[in-house]
Amino acid sequence: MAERPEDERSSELSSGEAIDSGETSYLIEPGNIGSDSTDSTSTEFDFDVVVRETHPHIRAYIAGMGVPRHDVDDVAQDVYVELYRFSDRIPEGVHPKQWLKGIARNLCLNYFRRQGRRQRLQREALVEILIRAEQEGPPSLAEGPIRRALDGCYEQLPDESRRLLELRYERELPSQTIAEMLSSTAEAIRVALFRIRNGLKQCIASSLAAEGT
Amino acid sequence: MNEPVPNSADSGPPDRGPLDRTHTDLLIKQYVEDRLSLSPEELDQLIEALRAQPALAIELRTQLLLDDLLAQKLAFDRRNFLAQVGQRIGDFEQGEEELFSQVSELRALAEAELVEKPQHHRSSKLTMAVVATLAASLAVIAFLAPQYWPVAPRPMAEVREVQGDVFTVKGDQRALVRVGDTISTGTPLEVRSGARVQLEYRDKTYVEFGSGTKFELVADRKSQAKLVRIDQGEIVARVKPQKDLGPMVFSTPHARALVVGTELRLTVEPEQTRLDVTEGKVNFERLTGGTPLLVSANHSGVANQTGLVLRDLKWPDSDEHLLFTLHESGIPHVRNPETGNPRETELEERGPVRSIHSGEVYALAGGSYFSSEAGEDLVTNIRGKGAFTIEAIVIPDSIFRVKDSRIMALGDNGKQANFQLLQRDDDLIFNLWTDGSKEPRELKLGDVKPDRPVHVAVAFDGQRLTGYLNGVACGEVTEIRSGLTTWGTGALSLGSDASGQHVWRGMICGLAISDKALADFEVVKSAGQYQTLYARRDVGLTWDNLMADGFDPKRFAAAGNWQLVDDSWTNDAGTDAWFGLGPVGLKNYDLLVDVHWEKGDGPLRMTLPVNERRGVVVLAKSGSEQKTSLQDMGGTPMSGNSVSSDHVLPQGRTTRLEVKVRLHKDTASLAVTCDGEPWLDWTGSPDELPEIESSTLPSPKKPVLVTANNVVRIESIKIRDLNRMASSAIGQ
Repeated sequence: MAERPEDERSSELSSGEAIDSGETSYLIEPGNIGSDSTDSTSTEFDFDVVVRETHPHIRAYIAGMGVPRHDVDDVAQDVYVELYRFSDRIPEGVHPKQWLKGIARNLCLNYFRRQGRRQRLQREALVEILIRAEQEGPPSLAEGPIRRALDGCYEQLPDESRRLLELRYERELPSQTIAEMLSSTAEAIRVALFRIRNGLKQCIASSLAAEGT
Repeated sequence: MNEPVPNSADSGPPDRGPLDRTHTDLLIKQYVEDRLSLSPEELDQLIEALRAQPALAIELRTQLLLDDLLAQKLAFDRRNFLAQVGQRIGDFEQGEEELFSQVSELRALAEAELVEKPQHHRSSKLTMAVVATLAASLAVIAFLAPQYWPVAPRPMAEVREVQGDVFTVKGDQRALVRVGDTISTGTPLEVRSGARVQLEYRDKTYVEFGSGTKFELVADRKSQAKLVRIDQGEIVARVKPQKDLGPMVFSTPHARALVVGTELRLTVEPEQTRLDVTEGKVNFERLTGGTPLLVSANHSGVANQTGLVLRDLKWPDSDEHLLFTLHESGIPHVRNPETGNPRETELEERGPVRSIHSGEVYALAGGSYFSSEAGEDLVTNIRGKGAFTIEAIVIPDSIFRVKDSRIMALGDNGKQANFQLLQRDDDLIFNLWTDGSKEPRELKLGDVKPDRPVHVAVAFDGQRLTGYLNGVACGEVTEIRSGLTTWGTGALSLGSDASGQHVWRGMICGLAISDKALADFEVVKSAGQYQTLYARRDVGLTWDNLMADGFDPKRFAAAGNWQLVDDSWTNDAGTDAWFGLGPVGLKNYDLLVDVHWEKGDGPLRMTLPVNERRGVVVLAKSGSEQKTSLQDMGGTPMSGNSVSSDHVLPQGRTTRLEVKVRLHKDTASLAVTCDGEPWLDWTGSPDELPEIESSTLPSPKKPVLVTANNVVRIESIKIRDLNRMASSAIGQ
């Protein structure tokens, strides 16, 4: 696995602030994203409001780094425990969500560090690739009332697509089982899910753009 | 967004170029489905491909994000994230305190050891090793312990009502549960036969546990979602929307009911669990798996060893043995003994009665319903079978004036009948005449509360007469050796005997007579189904009976030397006599007064608060020139809103006055009926009414009956304060 370039690492570190929580040093990124209603510059914030407004993004962010779905919420809860403990350390001017992303990234790395060496190196490599993808990719799913947009787009899906999503996500059936139920193949199911998610992404992006987010 | 569901095996990934790209696509899709599914070699291939094609990495990340957002939306265990965070914070704080306490104790111990045994300093390396080991152990404990600490009992709900014996159980020890007790997780409870208990959660979710129920409250370790484990018995729940907590779960030996916010009833029997839903929808699933049922309002689900069954919920449950019912869109039906088919039958109205709620509820205000045809058909049918069950939902009369008042009877000539269901003070009694007997076999059903609906059932199997109140067996008469073959033909009467005597003033909300003796469990089920379907409606029919709790008229603000005479309150004919009819602060309310005008030339006046103003209803005497009207206290019709009526108040008999006051935004309405007949109806702005503050009015902020110069007997006063009335149908 290739290490990230030293200059990139150092530039990232220097652009933020390391917090010593006693166990882990957390990276604080400078924040310029402030589309949420939470006051990005105030250190006086309502914990519940921050959690409520940021958790869909943070959980998806953690999933976007390759954390298995069944562990995403555990890691996300750790993120918010850190917020609870160290909210007074959020630097002025840094949006809580940006701070949370820094925490999330570090906790994800910690998560992968518990695995065997080869797996750990692979997962860390993937995390780096996915973080770079986040920085290089369009911001359409990063901001705004994404859950509301998803709800709206979900309602527009044809019944067949919703049925497939329910089988996959509500009943948590693997593609193989779904394929057996629908007389299809696991690969065909994965392709269909892939396309549905792509359609949702475009719909969400349009919806958020229309809302001016 | 029109994405087809694949239906063939050849729906592969889109063709994007070379074979390795196709392989990468496969890896990406597999990885999105399960991050742990790729082998190390495949993972290396994926990483290499993503490094080479950053656009692929962006696509993968987008898919991961969407995958998780969909899981957040749809997966059950991911919908309650906020509560999970709350729990983690709680665990964290608890862990901090306990760890601090444990570490402090260990530190104190270590310090004491060091003080007491200074020679240990010599083996400093050993000491260091011990301390290091201890520290490492503490660190491990600190990390692991919160996950494995037993969950401390968590207060879940408070006891709101208890009837009969309800116990908490700890090993062999049992402690009585009382109103106000807090029920925590980990404490099994037992409701004894004939008892019940109602619990209230902090979010105003109410659960009532019926006779013979064994249960325990549980909280989800992570989310704090409410769980109730029921081993046997019956519950009725009104569940508030659970929002972020996740569904409230009722778990039985056969099934689970997942409730987001609704009203439901669960009956847990040894062989099956039955779910009746009043409102909303409930996910119902068997513990052994299979496709869950979505049970919606007015439907019922049954889980047993063979599966789940869904059906409509109705009362009476089955038509098979039905001889008579009022529950067919309000039209009474009786079984024609010649054809065996049900036919419509008419109930003749005698005196002040009325039917409400599409004719399904019979309100008896001194009159009765009567049917010779229904009576004859019933006699013929029951005589042929020699068995019957009578189920009635009644709202009993005030207890003080009822002496063998007939709720219903068959062939009742005042002295003898085929059967009589009657109220004697606060007791319900069933009398049955069998062949050759002049005296009835009397079955005492037990105490009832006035103005509270009660499901009454009486079953006769040819030898045994069993009585039930709200599904609980409460009395029986055995060894009845004679049959019903000599029953005489007679009419069915509701609210009096066949000659209109022995009047009962209450309501019959449901009536079903069948030609077999229902078994205990069938009665329980039927009572439950009735409550599930109609209890909420019936709450709106109940009253606060101001004469129910005692006779002392001094409890009410009054002038005129009011005295207790023959279970009523009577005044003298003083010039300032008046009587308070209810509390202060009423806004939307109903008022019911049974009044007997004995002496005087009238008029009587009722002053009624209407949104900080007052309306005065003048009740004139028969033969008087003065007519009923809405007036000011001086007797002058109010300018601009005078309402008058030609009605007059009869003297020499009891009259039921009913008042209805409603406020809706800027409009108020005031309606008065007399023995069910419309009397006065006014709608307008409350501003049109006089100010409530007036020196001429006694206690102007409460309803008042001004009886100056008249002698009046008040036999009943009931209030229904709609602003205070709980919407709960449970425990009524």
